[in-house]
Amino acid sequence: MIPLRHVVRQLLVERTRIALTVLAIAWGTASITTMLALGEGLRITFARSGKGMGEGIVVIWPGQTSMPYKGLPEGQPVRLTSDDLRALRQAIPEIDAMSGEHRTWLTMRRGDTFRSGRVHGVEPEYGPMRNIIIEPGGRFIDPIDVRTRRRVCVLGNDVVDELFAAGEQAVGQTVEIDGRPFVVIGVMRPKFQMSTYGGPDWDGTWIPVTTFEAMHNTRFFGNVVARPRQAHEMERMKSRMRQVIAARHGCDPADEEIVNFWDTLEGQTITANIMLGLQVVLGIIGGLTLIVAGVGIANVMYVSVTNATRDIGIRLAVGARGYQILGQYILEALLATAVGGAVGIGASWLLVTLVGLIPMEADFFRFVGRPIPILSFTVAIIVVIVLGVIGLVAGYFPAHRASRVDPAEALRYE
Amino acid sequence: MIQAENLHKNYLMGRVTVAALKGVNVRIHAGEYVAILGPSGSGKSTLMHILGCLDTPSSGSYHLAGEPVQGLSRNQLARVRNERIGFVFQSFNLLAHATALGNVELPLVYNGSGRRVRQERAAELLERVGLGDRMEHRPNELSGGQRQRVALARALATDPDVILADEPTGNLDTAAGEEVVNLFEELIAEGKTVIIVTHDLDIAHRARRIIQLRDGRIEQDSSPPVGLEGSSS
Repeated sequence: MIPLRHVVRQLLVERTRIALTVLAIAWGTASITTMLALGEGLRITFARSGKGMGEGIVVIWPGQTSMPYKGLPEGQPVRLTSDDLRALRQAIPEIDAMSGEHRTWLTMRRGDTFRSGRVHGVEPEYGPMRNIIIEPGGRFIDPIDVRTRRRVCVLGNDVVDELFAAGEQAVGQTVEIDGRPFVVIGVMRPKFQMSTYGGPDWDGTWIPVTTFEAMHNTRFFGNVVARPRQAHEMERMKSRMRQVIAARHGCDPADEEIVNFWDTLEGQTITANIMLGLQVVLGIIGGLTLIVAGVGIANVMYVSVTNATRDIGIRLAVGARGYQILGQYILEALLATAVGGAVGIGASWLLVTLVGLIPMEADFFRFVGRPIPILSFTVAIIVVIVLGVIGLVAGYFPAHRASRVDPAEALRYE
Repeated sequence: MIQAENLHKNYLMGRVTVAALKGVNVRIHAGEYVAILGPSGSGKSTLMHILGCLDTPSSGSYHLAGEPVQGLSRNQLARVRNERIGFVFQSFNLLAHATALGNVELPLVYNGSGRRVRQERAAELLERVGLGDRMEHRPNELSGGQRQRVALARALATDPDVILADEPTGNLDTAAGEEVVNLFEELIAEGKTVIIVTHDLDIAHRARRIIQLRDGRIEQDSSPPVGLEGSSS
């Protein structure tokens, strides 16, 4: 094919014009890349913090009847106990994990430090479901803790910071909860958490469900947390749960009010869609900038083809085929686009890195994490494909005109 | 080598059709040294463009080296030009941004020769036309005579059968023109067919055959030099 230096030489003839166009492509590339990277950063941050409370879980609150049934008037409270959970587990194979949850505020003390703590009574499956990951050296509540009503507790990382000195090992130490000594068996690893009920996990303390029930002489759960085996089984699991509970408590099976569900899967889907939409919008804005730059390239190429008519005539006279001329000008456009694209991606990378280095503090970041623009491989691939298409299209029309030049006329052209 | 019969060429100028060639019959054998002579507007450039496959006749038949040329596609014509014809123009028609070497390489670029083959062949041809020390010079760094010799080297790059020259000495002083004409005569000695379009009688007389055009027709076709009174420009 045509040696690359012919193409480069041709490009350099229109030095100023091509430089401006390459600049336009670079600007367009930088803006599309940066915007996509921003969107990517936001999306990943939100996706991560959206999982802070748990992935694909549903929180179930007991309610009260809203329809009279079998002689009982409406307004009967429905209260859930371990027996209900046992029945649910037996009847519904879709349930992958489930835990009842009690919650109350109690005084906590270690030495001279007192604090008012939110204490949850939960089962072993609660930890993994709610993405409570334990720091090395500790563990979450296990079945033996539950069976033997052990006085053990798992602490949120903020609770540890309040009760223990920096660098002090919490696991194995004793803290007092409501006047009773509890051994710390695990500390939660810090995490981002966008949604909560009751309060963020870094502020929580968890003890075995049975220990909690013995301390407070209660059997009725404040709420239940469950997760289906597969995300698509969520709806089926929810409706089966309502049926089983209705049957056990003598309620109308059609009564929607006996339990309330908070399906986090729905929220996660919505968040993911919003983020994707945001990214698409940002991408389109960047893409439009690039298209404008592409029109610039096509324009420069038209001028370049007109100015080079005589040269094209010479090439044709010595035997250049139409497609060879076509290829030369398309290559020219692609080269200009590639140079502009490379400069643009480089500039964007620099910008993204710099933005990532700016220190920012905000309460908001505790919940969602700090969004840092991410120039991911996907973003780069999208940009390269868009650039390639724009270069091809921008180059094709002028190149086609060049390849149709009449050699006899071109040689007369001055 | 060249066999053209009843060539007509009409141009559309606005609404008026202008006949540039009105039935030209030419037969040129391999190895002939022919001058096409005529005043401007006589159709000699048009004839040269058609013989060089840069343009196609409106009607008539044209065989080059025994093969019909009419009906060939643009790309097929380009291939014929590349393989069979070398052009030399009055205004040199060199690529301004390429070196002498690059210009001579050009026909080889389009027949797909490798870089090394191209460079060796181009260097050899530039040596031959006496520009071995000017290979890396650009056209604007060369004199008119040197430029025309670069153009001649380019015309020879693919070793074509026919050299077509359109007023090759038109922009040169007498000495430079003489050198170029001498080179043409060397080519004749090697068996190439050389066709020179000119209105310069001195150049025309060096050829062995003169075809004289006037108003799109052949006025005179003489193998031995004859009196050429009446030709002017």
